[in-house]
This record gives sequence, C-alpha cells and structure tokens, in this order.
Amino acid sequence: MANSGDKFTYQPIHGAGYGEAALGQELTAEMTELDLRPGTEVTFLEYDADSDWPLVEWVDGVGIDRITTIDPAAFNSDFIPV
Amino acid sequence: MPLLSAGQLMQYAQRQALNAVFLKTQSPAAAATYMAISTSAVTGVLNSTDLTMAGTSINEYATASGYARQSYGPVAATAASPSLIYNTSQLTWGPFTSAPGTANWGICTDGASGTGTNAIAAFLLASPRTPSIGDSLQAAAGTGSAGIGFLAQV
Repeated sequence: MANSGDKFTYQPIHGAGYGEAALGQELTAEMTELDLRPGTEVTFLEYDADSDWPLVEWVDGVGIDRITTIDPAAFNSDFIPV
Repeated sequence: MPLLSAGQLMQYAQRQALNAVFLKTQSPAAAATYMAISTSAVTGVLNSTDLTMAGTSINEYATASGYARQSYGPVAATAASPSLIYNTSQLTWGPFTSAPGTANWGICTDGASGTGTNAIAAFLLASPRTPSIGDSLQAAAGTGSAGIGFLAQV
C-alpha cells in the first residue's frame, strides 16, 4: 500500500509511455508529448474512492500538472519507489 | 427540474454563496477544487439540484480508465461586475487506457475522487470531445473572456 506523498518513477520493462502501452502502438506526436513517459517521477496522491485505482500526480512534457489513475497491476510492476 | 446552462453554480454552491454573502454563515475554509468530466447530454440531463457527484444526472467519466479529476486552480474572483472566476492553467486529463466516452461538461467539485464530494458548478464545453485510448484531453486556460476556459460569473 502506498501512502500520500510517496514518490515513484514510471519505469516499465516494455519502455513505452502509459497511453502508448494501452493503445499498443505509437501515439501521434501531440499525444506522445502529453503521455506519461518512462522516467517520469510521480507522487502518489490517494486511492480513488470509487475504483480503488491509485491516483498519481505528475508533470507532463509541456509542463502541465496532471493527475492520472493507474491500473493497479501496472502500478505494482511499472512504478519503482524512489 | 432546473436544468443547467454553461458556467452555472449548482444548488450546493448557490446556497453556500448566499449564506456567505448575506452573513448568515461563515464561508468554508479555503481548499483545493477539482474539475471532473461529465458525459451528460448537452441539454435536458444535467440537473443543478444534484448536490454531490453521486447525483444521477452527473454521469462522470469512470476512473478505471486513466481518468482522474484535475486541479481547477482558479484565480481569485475578479474585482469587477460581473465578477469572474476561471482556471489559470491548461487542464489535461488522461492518458486514457480505455475509451471514456464523449465529454460534454466540466463539473467543479471539492474532492479529487469519490462520489460524496460536493458539486459546485457545471461548465458546458465549447464542443464535445471523444478521446480514444492513449489520448489526453486538453482544455484551455481561462483568460476572463467568455468561451475560453472554465469561467463562471455572478
């Protein structure tokens, strides 16, 4: 169980962005810039009250603060504690 | 049923505002607010009497999809008449890991997740958007001009 404020790095073995991996193919250049890219540091916020998926905060490639729900299986395998 | 137009306060917020302005109760403490996305049809569905995000007319995107509410981050209400409030930064949802449906409304609420949070205001999007898997959904930062960003006025 993660706690609020815990930091992780998105580091999937497949090397793809989070959205790219979900689609199973390369995203457009615009969507790639907005994707959660490998090497990105995220901060755990809370477990979503409805789905229980982890909510993480991060900053995208254009400098915008983001909050994203992460599939629990992916969170366990692809997000490495800092 | 009081159905909604763009940038309209929901019943919870209408009551909070009137009680504060007319000095009936203390204003709530300053806190973060968040922008949710709703698939409710543009007309005839979203109802201002829904007090929380559990309301049957709210129809928020499902969270098991990469979707999460984004920090609204508004300016302080402007010293003008009408007084305005709007988001200071671009808001971006996703990336989505499953297709979340068509976005028609932004709904401001006072919690990052959960249906028990209060529904504050509803904002009609300038045009519907239907993101695909892998996409992110962007909304412009407000400028104070009508039709740009999530703007409400009193």
